[in-house]
Amino acid sequence: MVHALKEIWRVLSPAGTLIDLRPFVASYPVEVVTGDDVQTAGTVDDSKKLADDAAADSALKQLLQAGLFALEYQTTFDFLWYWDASEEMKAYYEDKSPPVFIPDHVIERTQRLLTEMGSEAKIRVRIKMLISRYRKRV
Amino acid sequence: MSSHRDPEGIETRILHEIADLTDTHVLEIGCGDGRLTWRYASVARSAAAIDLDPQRLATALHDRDAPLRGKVTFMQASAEALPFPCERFDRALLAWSL
Repeated sequence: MVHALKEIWRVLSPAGTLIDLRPFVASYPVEVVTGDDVQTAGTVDDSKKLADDAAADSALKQLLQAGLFALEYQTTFDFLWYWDASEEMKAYYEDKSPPVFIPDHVIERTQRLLTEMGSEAKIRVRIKMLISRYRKRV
Repeated sequence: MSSHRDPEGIETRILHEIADLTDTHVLEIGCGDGRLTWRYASVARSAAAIDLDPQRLATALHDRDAPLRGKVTFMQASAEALPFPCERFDRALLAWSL
């Protein structure tokens, strides 16, 4: 990962910037929404990615310490991902590498809420994102 | 499969606010199916989008709009060995990929 970041540094112009955009919380709320009505069904636990996050943070820290990049700006926001059916959402997460398993009780509650809230209701996964801007240093 | 990612455009708005991609040469690492690429390509001067997954790159190429063909390039490549000369890009975008 450090080598990849050094490659990015190499291909950036002297005043270039690196934008790092990624999820930074490993537990995502699963909601069912219609209009202003939002009901929480549970969470998706993506904690297997925590090791990758730690490695990414460590790699970036090494390049900052080496003086190759300087952090200019950082903020967070919610990335909203909508699904029409819980089966589709479950299949998507289980197909990830490594797979992410959504507990059965979350799927069951999601389906119950979809039924209760009507045909316009959608599933929404709320992913907390971190976006950072780094300036290349020469 | 029917899913919609960021239909409100929150990610796109924040990306443009923070990265200022207008009239820049952009390298996107981990472009996948090009979902994010299409959200900035029209304002960039050029975009080179790389990913390791040929199937997702094929989807990106399939979805590429004709007006963007001249300035968006997709290729299978690793960030560990970028096939570009030094100082080629103004922006590097790690899109959910670090």
